[in-house]
Amino acid sequence: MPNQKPPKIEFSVDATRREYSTAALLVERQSGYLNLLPGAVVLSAVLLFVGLCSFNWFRTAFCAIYVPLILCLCCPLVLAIFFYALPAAVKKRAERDYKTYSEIMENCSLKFFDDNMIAQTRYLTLTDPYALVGLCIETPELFVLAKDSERMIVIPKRCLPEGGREDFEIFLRQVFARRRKVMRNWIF
Amino acid sequence: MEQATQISLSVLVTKDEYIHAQAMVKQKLRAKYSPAITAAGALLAALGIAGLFFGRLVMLSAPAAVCLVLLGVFLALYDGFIGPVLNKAAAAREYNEKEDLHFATAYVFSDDRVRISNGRIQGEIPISRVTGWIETPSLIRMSVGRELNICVPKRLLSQEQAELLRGILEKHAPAAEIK
Repeated sequence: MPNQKPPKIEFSVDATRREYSTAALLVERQSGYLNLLPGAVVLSAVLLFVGLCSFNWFRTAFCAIYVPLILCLCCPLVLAIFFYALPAAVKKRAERDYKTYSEIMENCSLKFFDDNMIAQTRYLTLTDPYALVGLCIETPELFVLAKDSERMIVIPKRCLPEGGREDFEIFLRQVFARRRKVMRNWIF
Repeated sequence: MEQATQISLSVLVTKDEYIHAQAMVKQKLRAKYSPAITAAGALLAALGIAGLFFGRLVMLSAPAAVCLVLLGVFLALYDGFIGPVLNKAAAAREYNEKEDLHFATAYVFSDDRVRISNGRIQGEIPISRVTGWIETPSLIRMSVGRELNICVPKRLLSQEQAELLRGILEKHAPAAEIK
């Protein structure tokens, strides 16, 4: 159904590879495996503590050293998985997906209405009611509208029109008030 | 009226079809390294059992040996039993999350492109843009990056249409088939 009212704001977006990769990490951090990051940090600390306690340094007999050793080694392993391996896998997938994203979303024009937004590209017209957008993540450089754990629209702040930048940011913050996450980077 | 090289469909995927298809995709993607995981699990379980009987000789306590056995059994059973259960649970969650799967979508497959139309998406995608496709017993699933998933249940296709669609995918996206 065509919208009768003119859009509140309209502009083109052109996300770079780095911005897309960052957006993928942000979405994974909020709704994927990386959402468990704080728990992983706590778990690694607990494993290290339990492992060190199990060593019982003041005892000279070193029976059953394997379990305390494994517990202590699990600490850096868990940290390596969540701070290196998983993000690296997300970035690798994002590198692969960017090729398709940049083709599908080439010359993407975004129009924001009162209750939905329309993304017009060379191939597709995507109409998304705000109510069905799961999450809006804001960083100093980006807005990322995550429709679900897979699909997202990356809006670099540099693409926002100069005159209406502040109004648009206020508009997005109001629309996604309850579903908005402000992050400095993919970790915090 | 449908031409010989065109397939027109209105598709609504059921939750069961989607779950089974996703689980099959995950299993096929896991097939590359699942033998290694199963073998590692069997080895750990064997070491753990040996540790229960001879652990004293290598300073391996009984609780540690039991942990090894449990870990080994978990890894050995992961691909065949535990993984499919987890994958189906994840697919069920995905189905609930993706609103697009809850209402009908019209697809028109022609020789080299597919036209899509529902309340959220309208447009035409070249088949060559498909980044992954798989045929399961119940449906043919195509993905275009992470932006688009097209699921066509085979119950909506005649045998000729299924062969035609398979032929279109094999012609224009042969490298994207998930085997």
